[in-house]
Parts: sequence; structure tokens; C-alpha cells
Amino acid sequence: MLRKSTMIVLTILTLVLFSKQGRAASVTSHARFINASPTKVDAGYVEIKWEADKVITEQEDDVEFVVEQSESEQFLTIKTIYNGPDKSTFISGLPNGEYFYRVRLGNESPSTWSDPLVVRVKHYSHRFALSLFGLGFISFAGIVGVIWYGNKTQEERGV
Amino acid sequence: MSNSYMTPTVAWSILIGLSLLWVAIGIWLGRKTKDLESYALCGRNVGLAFGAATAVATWITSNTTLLAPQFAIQLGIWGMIAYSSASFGLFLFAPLAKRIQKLMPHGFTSGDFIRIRYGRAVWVLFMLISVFYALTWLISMGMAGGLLLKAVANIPYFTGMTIILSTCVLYTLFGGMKAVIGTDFIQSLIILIGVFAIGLVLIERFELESIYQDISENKPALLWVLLPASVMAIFNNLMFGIGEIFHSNVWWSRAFAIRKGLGQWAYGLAGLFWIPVPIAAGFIALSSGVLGVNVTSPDMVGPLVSVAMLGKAGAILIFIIVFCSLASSIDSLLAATSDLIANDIYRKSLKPAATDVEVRKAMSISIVLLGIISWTICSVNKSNLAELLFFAGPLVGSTIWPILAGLYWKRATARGAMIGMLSGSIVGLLAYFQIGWFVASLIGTVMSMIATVTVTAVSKTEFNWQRLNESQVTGE
Repeated sequence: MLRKSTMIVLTILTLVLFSKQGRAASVTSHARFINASPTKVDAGYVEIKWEADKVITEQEDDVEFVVEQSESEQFLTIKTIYNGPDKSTFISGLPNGEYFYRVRLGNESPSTWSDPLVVRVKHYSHRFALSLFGLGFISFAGIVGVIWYGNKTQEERGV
Repeated sequence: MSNSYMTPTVAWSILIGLSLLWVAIGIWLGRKTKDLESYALCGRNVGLAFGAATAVATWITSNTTLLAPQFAIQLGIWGMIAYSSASFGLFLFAPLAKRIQKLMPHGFTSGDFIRIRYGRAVWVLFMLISVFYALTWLISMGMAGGLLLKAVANIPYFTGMTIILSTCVLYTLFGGMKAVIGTDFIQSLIILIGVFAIGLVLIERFELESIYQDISENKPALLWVLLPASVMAIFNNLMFGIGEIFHSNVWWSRAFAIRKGLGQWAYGLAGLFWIPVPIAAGFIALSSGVLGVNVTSPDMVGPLVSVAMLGKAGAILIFIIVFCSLASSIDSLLAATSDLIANDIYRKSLKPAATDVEVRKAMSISIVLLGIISWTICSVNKSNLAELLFFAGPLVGSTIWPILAGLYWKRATARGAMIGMLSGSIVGLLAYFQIGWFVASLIGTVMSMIATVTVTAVSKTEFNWQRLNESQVTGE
């Protein structure tokens, strides 16, 4: 009888403990980037995405993140680019260079920083861009010319 | 993005209210359409105001209200200008509309022109490009509608997308081109007033200097005069816009529907009204930093900033503007593409003896089928709007020179048109995958230009312009 009651108490305690542990274990513990590192960028913009590695469903919307950007690998000077519940941010207007990003949980008990995400920005060369611009201009001028000349001459000929 | 900026009651009221309004107007306007010409082309009697308004409303798509801000935040100042360069499509189509009306007074579609001018082989390729483009455009707008309603009103993507597509299918189906042009007129007014209202509020609330300072500190490359991707995007977008307008039956059907002699004025005016819209929409995006808005996806920057700046009123305004811009383009595409399928494929290929009643029935079936296909693809796939749309860029860019040559050069041949479209499409798509969406249309157009001009230069045959007037042609 004693053994049975002990078993019941132990079972209840175990369930309570497990349910608490379950909640504790399912709370987010770390954040990481989804993008591959290094990410190469040739137009100056990139969408970076991150996630928490352990989340329980009902708490997912409450998880907050802090994302920092630095131009040094050691994060000597930092800029906080996001602080909130979203899981991505769009960054644009980056000049050539290497940019380092790190993310951590931003709730009351913050986690350690993630491994850095390296974004390497190398814009297309001006020579390449201006060559295409020139080609575009020629084609555009050609289109305008054909329409203008075509309308003029066809009207004169009455066709 | 998961937050709702409107209460469900407000969101559903606007969505259902606008849907019912467009359907009611569409049915009311279409109640007197009896014959095919009245249903498909408004009896070729559309006046200047309605002609210009429908062109403006159709060209202000969800892509203008969502992609113009995306261009600005991706490519900076030049990105905004690049997007507004699409107005040249309207400006340059103005003289083309005049020529089309003159050469083809009884024409129905852009497919008619290609078939008579270049023959069946080129027509098949052209139809493939045209229908593919129309579907891409339709799908991109269906997706935009679903994404927007989710972002602004927390209406599930699937529900929002389904309501928008089915509303447009319903009123286009019952009202035909009259419903399209009539609703476009009202929608164009709402869009123009709404976009400029947001722009004005932005200027009033924030000094330009603070926006400039934020960008120069945090996104300095957006202010570069020679940001390489932007420099490439300028003519790329311009060519994409010209290609879209020159080839698409959306614009040809309007050229046939507008009263003779007014086409050029309607398109010229539409270009003037349209040109500031992407500038205003793009400017909104550049203030995202100063407002502290986190841009989770570049194609949602416009709605996000508007909502952050104007709160609930902004959410309602952007909801209405984008709903109108979506509807005004989806209806035009449904009407023009069903016209293309019914007249070109059904009547000219499958059943040459078809009566007008049968063709009209084929149009109705096509409208419903286009709606179902778009809905199915939108249901299973959510892509980046720019990348999806610009995939069609090199294909439509490759049609510019064959169409121009066909309209103005007697010596333009089917071989030149075929080589131009094929080479432009293939090389342009290679550029899309190897370099990026911001060069594909340009490279496709240039390749097509080289091929078309070269083949035409060595051609010795001459086309008889009278053949384009189908009333004078027997056995076509």
C-alpha cells in the first residue's frame, strides 16, 4: 500500500517535474543565422534571416532577437540594426567591404552571441555597368528613332 | 509582419465592401453589351478621359505600389528613377497606337498583327511569350494581394488572394471591357489621390534632411550617382516596360477600343499621369530608416512604412490603394488575354467558322480558366515579386524590335522576327541566371535588336501594308 502511494506521489512529481523541465527545455536557448556564411553580395543589398534553435510553439511570437553589425571581425565597433521579434531584415546601400553580423536572443535572459555571419560586398565594376548603360541607351535611341522617322515618312507617303 | 494593423472587422468590411462595389459596377456597366465588339472592345468608342484613365490604372499595378518602393530601397535614388522610366512605354506606345489604328481599323488583338505580318510560326512563338507573360503578371499580382492582406490586415494569404482574384474574374466575366474601363477610371482616381496623400504627409512630418542624413549614415550606397546595379537597372526597367506595353494585348486592345484619332493622346496623357507615381511610392520606402521600420522583405517596404507613419489610417489607405491597383490590372489582363485566346487561338486556329456568340463564350471560359490557373499557382507558391516578374523580362524585351520593324519597315521579315525573339529570349534568360534580374530585359532587347536589324538589312522582300486591314483580305 505504502509502495503504491509512494509510486503515485513519485509519478505525480515526475510528471510535474517533466512538465516544468519540458517547458524549460523548450524555451529558446540560442539564435543562429540561416544564411550561408560568407554570403557574397554584388548589388549592395542582402536579406539576412535568423532563427532560434529551440522554441515552444506558443511562445514563438514572444521571442525577441538582437542583431548587430560590425565592420570588424572582433566586433570592436558595433551598430544594432534590429531589436525585436522579426526573423529577418533587409539591408541595402552597403559599400564594398566585409560586414559581420551576430544575433542573440533579446529577452530578459539573453543568450550568447551566434557565430558571425560574414557578408562580402563587391559591387559590379563601373566599366561593366556603364557598358550595359551604353547598350541600353543605343537601343532606346534606336527605338525612338525608328518610331519618329517611321511616323514621319509613313505619313508623308500616306501609308 | 505578424502584427495586424487593422481590426478584423475593419479589414473584412473593406475587403468585402470593395469586392461587392467592383462586381456591382462591373455588372451594371456590362448590362448593355450585346455583341462581341461591344464586349471585347467597348464598340471601339472609348473617349479620351476613360482611355487615359484606364491606361494609367492598368499601368499602376501592385508592382508599381509594391515594387517601386522595393526598387528604391534596393537601388536607391536611381532605383526610383529606373522604375519611373517605365512610363516611356506609354509615351512611345502613343504614336504606335495611332499607327495601329490606321493600319488595322478592324483589328482585335496584338496576335492578329503578328499572324498577318509574320505568319504562323512567329505567331506561335509570340503567343507563347504573350500568354506566359500574362500569366506571370497575373500570378505576381495574386501573390501581391495575398501577401499584402496578410501583412496589413492579418487576413490569411490564401483567403485574401482568393477573394481578390475571384472578384476580378466575376466583374470582368459579366461586364467585359466596359466593366474593366469603367472600374479602372474610378480606381485610377483613388490610387492617384491616395499615393500623393501619403507622400505629402511624409514630407510634412519628416524633414528631407533627416531622411537624407539617415540614408547617408546607414545606407550610403543608395545615394551614389553611379551605383553599378542601379546604372544597369535604368535601361533594363525601361526596356522591360516598353516590351510589356509594345507586345501585350492589354495595350493593343485599348488601342483598338479607343476612338479613332484619340489613341495617341490617351497614351501620352497616361504617361504624364503615371510618371510621378513610382517616384512618390519609392520616396516612401527611403524613409524606412528614419521611421525605425524593420524591412523584413523588400517588396513589403511600401505598406510597412505607410502603416508605421500613418497608423491605422495608413493601413486602411494602403489597403484600398493596393486593392485598386491590383484590381485595375488583373481585370485588364483577364479581359485582354481572354480576348487573345478566344480571337487568336479559338477563332483563327481551332474554329474559323465560329460565330461571334461562340467567340464571346470562349472569352468567358478563358477568363474563368485564367483565374483558376493563377489561383492554383498562387496557392502553392509564394515568390519574390520582382524575381518572378522580371523572369518574363527578356521574353517581352525580345518582342520590341520585331513589333517595331513589323509596324514601320516594309522589309522586315518573319525570319528576322523569329531570330530576334528567339535569340533575345535565350540570351536574356542566360543573363537573368548568370548576372541578375536587373540586366536580363536589357540584354534580351539588345540581342533581339541586333538580330532583327541585321536580318531586315539583308532582306529583299517587301510587305504590302494593305494586308493588315483584314476587312480587305479574303481567305486570311
